[in-house]
Amino acid sequence: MEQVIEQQPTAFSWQPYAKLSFIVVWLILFSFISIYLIVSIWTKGKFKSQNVLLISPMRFTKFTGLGNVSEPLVNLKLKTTQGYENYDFLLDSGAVVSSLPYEMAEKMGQNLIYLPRLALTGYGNATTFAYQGTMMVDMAGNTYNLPVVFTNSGTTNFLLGRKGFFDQFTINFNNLNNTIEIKQ
Amino acid sequence: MKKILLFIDKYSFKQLFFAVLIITSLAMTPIFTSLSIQKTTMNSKAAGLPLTTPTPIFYGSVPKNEPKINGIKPYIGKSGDEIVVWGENFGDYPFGGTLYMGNIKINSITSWKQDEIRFVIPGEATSSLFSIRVGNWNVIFEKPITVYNQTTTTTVHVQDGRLEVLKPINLKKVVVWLSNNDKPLTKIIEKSVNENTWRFPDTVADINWISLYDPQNQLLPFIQNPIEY
Repeated sequence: MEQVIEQQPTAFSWQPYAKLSFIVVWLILFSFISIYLIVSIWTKGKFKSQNVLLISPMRFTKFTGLGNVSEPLVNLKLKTTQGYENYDFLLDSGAVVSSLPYEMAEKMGQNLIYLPRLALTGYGNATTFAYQGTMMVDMAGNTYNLPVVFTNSGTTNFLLGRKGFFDQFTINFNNLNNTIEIKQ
Repeated sequence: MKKILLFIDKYSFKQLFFAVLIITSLAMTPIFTSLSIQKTTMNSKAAGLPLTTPTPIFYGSVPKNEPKINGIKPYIGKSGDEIVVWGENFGDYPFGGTLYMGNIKINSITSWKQDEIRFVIPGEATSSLFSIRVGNWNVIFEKPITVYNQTTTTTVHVQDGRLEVLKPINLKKVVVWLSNNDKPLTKIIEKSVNENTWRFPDTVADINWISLYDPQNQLLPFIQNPIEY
């Protein structure tokens, strides 16, 4: 006599559902994180919101024949041996690195005698010597250690150059509000 | 759906967890590598000292006329400091061109043009005469470059034409070249203001070069504030 075995429909317990949920949740999280990271790499943080560190009013100087011309000056707190002191810096994207006059080195507790020396070719192919140091500036309560050179060129005073400044911060000349904004 | 559930049910929670862990790790490795490279590049921007220039390639022809050194600036420095040499017929990155400070070969040459050479004082250099060797020429500059280090205490101070040597050690004479005179103005210091301060007898204007010597006529290192030269 033939035995007929009737196949019962499989009754699933909670475990496969739990496993499936685990995989689905993982897949969703994995996809979101991957997309976010890939987009971050692709855009190199271009769409990251930037903190405004400093808003400085634009200053104007009257030139004969030209009228009022804006001066790219910002007032920054510079660390000296006497604490932080305010100085006007000229934003100079043409300068390789920020510079200060020789005399500031001593005020900032740095000895020119022991700082590394470079020869720089300036305006009109004139050779000047610069001593590489660092300066600590305060912007919106945050301190930044920036590379600086101390130079003897009489006309150039406090400059903010590309190395360490223009390549670290976003500088926006807002002609609508007559302000200079420094963002990070 | 039933098939999926059956398939998933074949594996334990432990197996599924490890599978997910391995897949996540494998997929995230290239992403995190790219991110860390990007962050390192961003963070290193401000701390990118020193400002270096690539080593030039020497391929130019040897100068036909003898090179002439007209001047060196400054006359003092420490290891790693840049020095500028002015003159004529240096060649343009001449093949086989070499620079020396005494017997020490200068390897770090920043630039070499017809009328100007820039180099960095080597680590092992001491106060000595500078020379250029190119082709069959060997030109030595008459005034020695003073090299100091962190331990140098002897200080030269020039103010209002008054030259003082502070904390001199074994000092015999001070040689000064003036900008309007090619011949050195040599003064042997005999009197001191006090033990720690020696003063040049006359006031001197337009100082071009200073060298200090001991009784054996050996160069003495000294420090001087760059504001003064």
